[in-house]
Amino acid sequence: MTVDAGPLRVLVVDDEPAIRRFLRAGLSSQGYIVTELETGLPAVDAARRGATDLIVLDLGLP
Amino acid sequence: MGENTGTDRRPSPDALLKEAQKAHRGRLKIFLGAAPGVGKTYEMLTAAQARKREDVDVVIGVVETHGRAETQALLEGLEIMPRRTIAYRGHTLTEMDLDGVLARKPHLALVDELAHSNAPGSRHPKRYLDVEELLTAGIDVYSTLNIQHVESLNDVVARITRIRVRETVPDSVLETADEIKLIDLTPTDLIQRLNEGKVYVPKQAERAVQHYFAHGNLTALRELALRRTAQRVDSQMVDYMRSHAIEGPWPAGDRVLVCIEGGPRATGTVRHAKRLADQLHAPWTALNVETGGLRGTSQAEQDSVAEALRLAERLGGEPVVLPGQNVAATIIDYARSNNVTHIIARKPQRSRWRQWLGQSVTHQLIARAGGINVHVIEAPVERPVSAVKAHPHGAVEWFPYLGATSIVALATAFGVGLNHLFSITNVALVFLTGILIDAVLFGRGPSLLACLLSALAYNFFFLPPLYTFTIAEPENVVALFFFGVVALIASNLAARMRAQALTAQVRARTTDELYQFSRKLTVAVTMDDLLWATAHQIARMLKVRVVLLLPEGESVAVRAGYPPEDMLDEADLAAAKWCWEKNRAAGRDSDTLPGAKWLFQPMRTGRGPLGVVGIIRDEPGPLLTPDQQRLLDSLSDQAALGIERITLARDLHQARLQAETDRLRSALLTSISHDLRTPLASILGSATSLRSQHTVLDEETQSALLTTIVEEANRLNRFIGNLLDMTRLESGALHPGTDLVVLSDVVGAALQRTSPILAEHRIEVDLPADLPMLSLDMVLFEQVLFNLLDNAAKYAPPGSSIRLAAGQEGSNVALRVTDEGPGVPAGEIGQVFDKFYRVKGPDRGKAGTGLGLAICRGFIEVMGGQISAANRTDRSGAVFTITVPVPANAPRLDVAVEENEA
Repeated sequence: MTVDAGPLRVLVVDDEPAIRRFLRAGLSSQGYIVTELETGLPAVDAARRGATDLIVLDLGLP
Repeated sequence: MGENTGTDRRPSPDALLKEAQKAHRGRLKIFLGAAPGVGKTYEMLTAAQARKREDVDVVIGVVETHGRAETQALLEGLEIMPRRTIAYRGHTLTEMDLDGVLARKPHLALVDELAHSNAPGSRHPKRYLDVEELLTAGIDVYSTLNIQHVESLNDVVARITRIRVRETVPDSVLETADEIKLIDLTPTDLIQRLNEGKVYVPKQAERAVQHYFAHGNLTALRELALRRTAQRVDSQMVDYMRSHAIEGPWPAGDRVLVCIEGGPRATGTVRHAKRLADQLHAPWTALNVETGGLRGTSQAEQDSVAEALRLAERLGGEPVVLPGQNVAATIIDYARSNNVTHIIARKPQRSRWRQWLGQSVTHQLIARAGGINVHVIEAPVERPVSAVKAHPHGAVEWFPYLGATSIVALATAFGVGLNHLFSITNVALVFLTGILIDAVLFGRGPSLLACLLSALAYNFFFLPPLYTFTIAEPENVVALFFFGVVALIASNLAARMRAQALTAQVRARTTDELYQFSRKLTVAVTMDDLLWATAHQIARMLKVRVVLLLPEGESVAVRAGYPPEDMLDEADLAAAKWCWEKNRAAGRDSDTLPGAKWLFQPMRTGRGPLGVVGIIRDEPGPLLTPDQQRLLDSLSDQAALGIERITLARDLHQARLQAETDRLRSALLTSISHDLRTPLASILGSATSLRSQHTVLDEETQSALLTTIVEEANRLNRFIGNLLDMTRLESGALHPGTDLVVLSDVVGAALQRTSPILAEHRIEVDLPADLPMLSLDMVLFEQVLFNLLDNAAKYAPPGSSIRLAAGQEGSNVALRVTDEGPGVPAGEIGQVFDKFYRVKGPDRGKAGTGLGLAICRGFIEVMGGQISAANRTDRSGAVFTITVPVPANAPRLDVAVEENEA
C-alpha cells in the first residue's frame, strides 16, 4: 500500500517482548513508525487521541 | 368414579389416564354367561376363528371343551399351546403354560374360565392374574366367565342358587375389560340343552343341579347378568362422555361409608356397600372403629374385621380403622368431615348385654345422622373363606385374678378393722374402692370376679346374721343389691377406660417409634447404616425377620438383613426378582407365588421402585394384619426416601467431581496451548521476517531477531521439559539415583546453566566446606535448583541479589535460595507449590507455566527431602528452603570453598 500523506504510525500492543521485537523489525523495515506498548489501556487512550493510524493488538493480554 | 366435574368442560383426568394406560396393554374380551352351558366357550372359539381368518396370530392358552363335539370341532386349525404339568399330592394337574405363551407372544390368546384357581406351584394363585400378566405384556386375550364368579355378586348368587362359589374374580377385572359379550340364552332353551346332555356339570354339583337349573333360578341369574352388562355399558358411556368433556347427567358427588363390625356378616356387608357405591358411581370407604375392647374382641372377631377390610380394598373401597370410645360418634364425625352422603349399617343384633348398657350403634347412627342417608341392611352370613389363625389364643392368665382376689381380701380385712368405728354402709365403699383398683390394674375379667367376691364377703362378714350367707333384714338385701349394681357399672367403666388407655398407649408408642425411625434415617450417612437401621426397625416393630435388597446390575441382591445371617434360597430370590421387575408385591399372602415363605414388596418413591423388602415369620398363617401392613408400608416408604436421598447425594458428588475435573482439564489445555504457541509465534515471526526482508533489515535488527529465535526456542524447550518432568513425576516413572554427591558440585552446575538468565542479578553462594555428602540424584537436584533460580530471576528486580546458602541442621542439610523480589502474597504461601499456580498480579516479562515449583516439590520429595517457602523477615523477598536428610555413613570432605561464578 503506498503511503502519500506521510509515514503511517503503528501501535504494537503485546506483553511478550520477543513478539514486539520481530513485529517492530518487520514493520519498521517497511517504513512504518512503530510504537510499542505492553498493556491495553494506554492503547485505548492513544486511539482516542488519534495518535496512531493502526493498532496491532494481542487479544490475549492479561 | 365420583369425581365431580359437573360444571367443568375439561375432560376428567381419571378418564384420560385410563385411556392412556390402555395404549400399551393387550385388550381383554370377556364372554359372560349367566350359567354354565350357555355356550361361552363356543362363542369364544367362533370369534377366534373369525380373527384367524383375518390373519391374526391366534393361540389357544387353555380351553376346556368338556368333550362336547361341536366345541371340539372349533379347535380345528388353531395352534394349541402345550400345558404345564404340576404334581400335587399324588395327582398330576395341568395348567396353562404362562411363560410359554409370554415367550410365544401371539397377538391373541384364548384363556378359558377366568375364575379358575391354579394349582399350587404356579406363579399366580388365580388364572385372572395370569391373564393380567398377558395383558401387561401386550397380548390380547379372550376369556369366559360365569356371572356367579363375580366377587361383588357372590353372595347374591349364593342366595339365589344355594350354591356358594369359592372361585371369584374381582370386579376390577370386569371393569377394566375392554369388551364384554353377554352370551344370553333363555332359561327354557338352557334347560332343553341340559336335557340333551350338552351342558357340562362338574361332579360335585350334580346333586344341586336340579335346583340350579330350575326355571326361576335361571331367570334370576339371567337378569343379574343382563343388569351387570347394562351397568357396564352405562359406565362406559359415562367414561366416554367424561373423556370427551361432554356434559351429562353426572351424579352428584356421593360418598358411601360402610361400618364394619366383627362377626360373620362383615364381608356380606362389604359386598353390599360395593354394589350401592357402583350404582351411585361413588367412592366408598369401609370404616372399623376400634373401641379397645369393651367386650374384649375375640380373635375370631378381629380376624373377620381384617378379612372384611381386605375384601373392601380388593373391591375398590378404602379401608380405614379409627380408634374411638363411642362407635356411633366416631362414625358420624368421620362421615361429616369427609362429606359422606350414605352410611350403610347393619341391622342391630338381638339383645346382647351391650344393648343393655345403651342403644345399639345403628340406632345412634340413625338418630344423629342428620342429613346423611342411613341404609340398614341385613347381610347374609358367610363362612370365612380362609381359616385364619394369626395368633394362637393365649392361655388365660391367672395372675390378675389372683391379684383381684387378694385385693378383695385386703378390703375385707380393712373393713373388719373399721367395722367398730363406722357403719356398714361405709364398709361397702371400701369394697367399691377395691373393685375399682382391680378394674384399673387388671381389666374387666378380674374386676368382675372382684365384684362377685366383694358381694359375698360383704354378705358373709358384715350383714347380720354375721358369718353366714343369709341376710336377715330386707333393707340389707336392697343394700346388697344396689351395691352389686354400682359395683358392676363402676368396674365396667373403669375397665373400659383402662382398655382405651392401653390402646392409646400402644398407638402413641407406635407413632413415637415411627418418629424416632424417621430421625434415624435423616442422620444415616452411608447406605449400610440406613439399611441396617431399617432392617432392625422393621424386625422389631413387626416381630419378623427381614431382608433388604437393592438393585445390582439388572436385578436385585441382598444388601442387609435382620438377623444378619439370613440368606435367601433360589426360589425366594426368584420371587424377590419378580417383585423388583414388576414393581408389585410377591410371595406369601400376595397374588403372585403365594407358596414362597417370604413376602416381598417393593420400596417405592415417586420416582419408582428403589429396592425390595422381604419379611418372614416362621409360624404359619397370614403374615400381617392390615394394621401391620400399613406400618410396613410406612416404614418402607421412609426407607425408600432415605435410600433415594443417599443415592442422589452420591450422584451429586460424582457430578461435582466430574465437573471439577472437566474444568481443570480445559484450564490446562488453554494454558498449555497459549504457552506453547507464544514462543512459537515469536520464532516463526522472527524467522519469516528474516527470510523475506533480510535485504531491508540492518545488521542490528537481524542480530536481534536471531537472538529472539534462539531465546524463544530455549524457552519452548524448557517449557516442554517441565511438562515432561511433570508427566514422569505423576506416572511414578521417576527413579532417582542415590549416588553420594557433593552439594557444591550440583550448585555449580545449576549456576552455569542459569547464567544467561541470571545475567542481570548478583549471585551470592555460601556453602560451608565441611558439608557432608548427600544421597541425591544429580540431574533432578540440578533441575530443582535451576527452577528455583529461574523463579527468583523472574520476580526479583534487575540488579538485586540472589543468595544460595547451605548449612547442616541436626540430621539434615538445609539449602536456602533467597531473593529480593516482592515475595509471596501472604495468604498464598500454602498454594505456591500447586500445579499451575502463578502469583497473581501484573505479568512482567516472561510468564511461567506455573509448573516450576510443583516440579521442585515433586523431585525433592521423591528424593526423600522437603521443600518449603516463606517470606523474608528482614525485607521483602522470598526464601525457599530445601531440607535433605544426611545419609547414615556419609564421608566428609575437606575442600576449600569454591569461588562464586557470577
